[in-house]
Amino acid sequence: MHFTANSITFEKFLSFVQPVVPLRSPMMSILENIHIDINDGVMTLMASDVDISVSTSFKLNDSDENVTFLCQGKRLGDTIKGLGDMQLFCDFDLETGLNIQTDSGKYNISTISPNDFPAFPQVNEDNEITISGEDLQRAIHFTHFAISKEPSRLAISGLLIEVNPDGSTFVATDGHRLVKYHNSAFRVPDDIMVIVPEKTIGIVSKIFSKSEVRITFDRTRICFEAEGTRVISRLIDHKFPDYNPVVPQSSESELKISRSELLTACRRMLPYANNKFPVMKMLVSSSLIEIESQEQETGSYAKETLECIFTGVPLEKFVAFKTTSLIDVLSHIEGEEVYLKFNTISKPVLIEPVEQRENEVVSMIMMPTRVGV
Amino acid sequence: MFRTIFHLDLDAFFVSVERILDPSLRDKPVIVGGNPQGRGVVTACSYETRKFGVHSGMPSKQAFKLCSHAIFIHGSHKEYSIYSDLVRDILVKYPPVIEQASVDEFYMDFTGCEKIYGNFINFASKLQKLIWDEVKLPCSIGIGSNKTIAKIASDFNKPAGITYVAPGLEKEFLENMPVETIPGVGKMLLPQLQSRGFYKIGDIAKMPADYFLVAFGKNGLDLWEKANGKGTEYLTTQREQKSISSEQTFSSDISSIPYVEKTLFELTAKICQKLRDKELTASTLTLKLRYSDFNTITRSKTIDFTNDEKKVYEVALKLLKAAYTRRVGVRLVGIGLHNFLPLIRQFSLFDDTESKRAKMLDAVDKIRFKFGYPAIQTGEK
Repeated sequence: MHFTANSITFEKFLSFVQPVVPLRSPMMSILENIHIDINDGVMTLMASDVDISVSTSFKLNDSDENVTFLCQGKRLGDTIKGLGDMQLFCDFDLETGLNIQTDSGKYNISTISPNDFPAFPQVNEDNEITISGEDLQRAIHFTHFAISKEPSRLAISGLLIEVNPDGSTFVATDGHRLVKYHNSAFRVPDDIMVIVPEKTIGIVSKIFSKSEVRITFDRTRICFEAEGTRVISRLIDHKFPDYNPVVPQSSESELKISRSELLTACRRMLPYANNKFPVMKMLVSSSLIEIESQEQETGSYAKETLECIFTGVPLEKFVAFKTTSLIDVLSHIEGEEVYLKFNTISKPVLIEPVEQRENEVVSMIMMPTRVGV
Repeated sequence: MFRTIFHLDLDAFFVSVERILDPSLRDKPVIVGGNPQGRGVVTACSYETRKFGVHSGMPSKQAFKLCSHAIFIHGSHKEYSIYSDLVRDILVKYPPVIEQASVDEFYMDFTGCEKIYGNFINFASKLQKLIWDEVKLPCSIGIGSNKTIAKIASDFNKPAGITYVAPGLEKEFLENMPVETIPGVGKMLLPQLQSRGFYKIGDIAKMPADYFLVAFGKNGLDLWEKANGKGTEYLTTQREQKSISSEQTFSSDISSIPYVEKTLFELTAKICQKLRDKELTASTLTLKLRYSDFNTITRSKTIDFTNDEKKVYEVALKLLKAAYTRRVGVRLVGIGLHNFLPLIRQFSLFDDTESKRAKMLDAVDKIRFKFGYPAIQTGEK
């Protein structure tokens, strides 16, 4: 059997399924392969790690037969990646496997029978919503970084998506910081609430960007689908913590500061902080903010003073934050200036852009750190 | 330029404070320390008891045998600390630099202050009088060109003495003193020095420095320098605490391991409270176990930085179980924490187990701050 494909196209669609392929899966080594199906000149790639399955299709330049086989995922990906724009001449037969010929080389990748590969999961399509790729991207951009990376904290190891007649709310937290993104323009008549695993969100953000994304889900699975690509993932079946009480509804004082100045200053504090738990202190006065960081072992320290506008009840002493967390928050928030809204130095601090987009509210909440003097 | 370092040592400090608190103890033999019927040791003793051979560090039982008519007092470290602060408050007004070496010892650097204070011996006498008049505590003062000489000098003429070692005469001053006079020469080093024929400080000073470097390493070289009248000339004004420890000698040997474990837990809770009071965390813990035959075992383990007794005790208990291998009674158990870093605690948005425990410990700290340590106790389980 013979087929030809453009290397750039092949690489693009391969990159959709590649992140799902486990590097090592001792219990189910078959998952280390990509399921390739060629039917009427269309190649369908499929990969699965049991929890997440991705399938995508694209048109080949030509093909002379319909075949289905499994090909080693990592090897195929590493071969196609970075070839440049060229024609790939491929042959497949059961005995020799997949042979790829490029302008400058020949590659043979062994293949196996597709019979034992798990079937692509199905989702009951009773619940369906459609969101623009741009809106979905935007929600993921603000929230993805804040999802907990601790596998033991299952309930918060995913993105909470709530959609109802008032709009849509995306919430992510790692227990120390929380991001709430609300879009009042995107709404549905019914109340919907799902928790999508962090890995799925990462994959979805790389695949769907422009076109409308159709989302269907049932009690256990969710499917994102657009332009011939489908991502099906299990949902997290745990209770997301009640986040509303931790979002400050009012504040005793607020600080207005240039986002980029604070962000770059925080980045300069990082090399002077403890490696394991980098912390920086902020001492705020009415028009200045002094930030400092010190590495206890060597005594090296950094201190910077920035201009700001502080109003409200003065803070009783310095407030401290985990430096990397604050950098994350400031990197993902938008706008020239941000507000930092305080109650006391041990209560959640609300960080918001000074100017919010229409129909949108971005709230980032950080818990301060207690530091011994 | 020669430096002028004063070393002020409060004479029999604990005993002197006890005599202020209870004047009936004046001129009587007094021993501060453990119960003479128990297993404790002498912390301080009055000069009246010293002629019977009593000295600090000696088991109280032995002290009682030597001086049975002495009055034994358990002592109150809180009171000693108050009086130590009073003395410090008097002294800080005079020298440009002062270092408190311990609760009853102060170094003061008076270099270049001759024109202000005049003759140093007269000035030392004035300081002694000032401390006596204001807090009724006797002290001895040594004056030398470095800390080692000043310390040896303050010990040279006790109690209430003043010894001035003129610059350039340090070697002559030390020459005929026994080697154990040098600070740092203790039970371990003394027999090693004596077995090599070093009995007097002059014997060490005569030898080439290389000999001590080869025989005892870096500490040997330090010893040789001290014997030649050299020493640290600058004071440490900020002393960083490097470890916190607590140990308990049982009144009789303990063969019940659950009891040893319970004691270990209480000691752990106590030192973790101290750590929290100082807003510190520690990453190394050391367990000390002494059997009834004085065989002593220490075991250390590095842990994640913490000041929570639950986490420290979990590791300490494992060390104890691994260390207790003989079927012999336990005389002492102790625990120490080292390798400190200032406390860094990330507050949590939600009430998870860890943040609940942190809040509970905060509440315990507040109760203890207000009502004292025994007001609330945490359970071993």
